[in-house]
Amino acid sequence: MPGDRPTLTTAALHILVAIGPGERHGYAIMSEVEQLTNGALRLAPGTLYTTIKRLLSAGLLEETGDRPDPHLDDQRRRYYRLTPGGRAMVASEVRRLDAVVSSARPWAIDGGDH
Amino acid sequence: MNRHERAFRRLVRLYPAGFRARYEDQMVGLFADQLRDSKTSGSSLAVTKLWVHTLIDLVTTAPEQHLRKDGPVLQPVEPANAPATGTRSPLQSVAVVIASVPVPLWIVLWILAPGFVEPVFLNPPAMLGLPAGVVIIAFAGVLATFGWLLARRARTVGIALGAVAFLTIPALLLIMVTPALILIIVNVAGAT
Repeated sequence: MPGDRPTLTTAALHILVAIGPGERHGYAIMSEVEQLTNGALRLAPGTLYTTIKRLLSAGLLEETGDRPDPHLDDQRRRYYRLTPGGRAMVASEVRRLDAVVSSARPWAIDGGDH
Repeated sequence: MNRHERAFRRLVRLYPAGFRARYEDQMVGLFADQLRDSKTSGSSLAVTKLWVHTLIDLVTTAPEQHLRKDGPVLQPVEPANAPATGTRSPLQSVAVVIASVPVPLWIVLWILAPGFVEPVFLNPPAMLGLPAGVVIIAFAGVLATFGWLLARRARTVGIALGAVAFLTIPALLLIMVTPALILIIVNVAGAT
C-alpha cells in the first residue's frame, strides 16, 4: 500500500475523478461531482476554481485549447483534462482507497464479527 | 446579466486580481448556470440556499487566496501531520459557523437593505482620508476573517470559542452599530 505518499484533498480527488478520461468545463465538473456523491458534495465557484488553479500548478490538470462551436456553448467556459501525472495520481488514489475499502468491507458493510 | 449575476461579479472582486483575471468569467458563468438550475428546481428557497452556499464558499476561499496563494492540493497521509479538519467537536463546529456569519451578513445587508448600510459611506466623518464608516467596516472585516480562520484551525475548543468571543462578536457589533453611529455623528455635527 502506498502509505508514504501524500493523498489528494477531497475536492481535488473528486474534481479529477469527475473529469475522468475526457474533457470537462466547470459546470460539467460540478454536476458530475454532485452526481458521484449523491448530492453530498456540491462545489461552489470559489472552491472549484481555487482547486483547479492548484491542480494546474501541480501539473495534474491542463486546460485544453480546443473550443466548441461558439453557437453551441457559453464562451466563458474553459475545458480541462487530466495530464499523465494526473492520471497516475488518480490511479494511486484508487489503489489506496481500494485497499482501505477491501479491508473494511467484511465487518463494516457485510456485517461480519471480526 | 441579471441582478444576481451582477452582485456575484461584484463579490468576485474580493479575490486577488491575478486570480480574477483568469477565473472571474468562468466563476460568473458557473454561478449563472447554478442560478438557472436553482430557479428551475421548483423550490422557492433554492436561490436563497445557493446564495448562502456561495457566500460561505466565498469567505472560505477568498482569504486563502490572499493569505497563501497556492494552498496544497495534496495532504500528508500521517494523521499527526494531517490538517485539523473533519475532526471538530460539535462545540467547535458551532464556533466555526458563528465565525462565518459577519462577512456574509454584511454582504446580505448590502444587497437586501442598502438603506441600512448607506450611512457607512458618508464623508464626513472621515478617517485616514476615507469615510470613517468604511474604515470601521473594513476593520470589522479583518477581525471577522481572522476570527473565522482561527476558529477553523483551532486545535482546542477553547481557542475556537475565544476567537468567536474576541474577534467575531466585536466584528458583528461593529457591523450592526456603525451605520447608526455615523448617522448620530452626522446629525450632531449638523446641529452644531
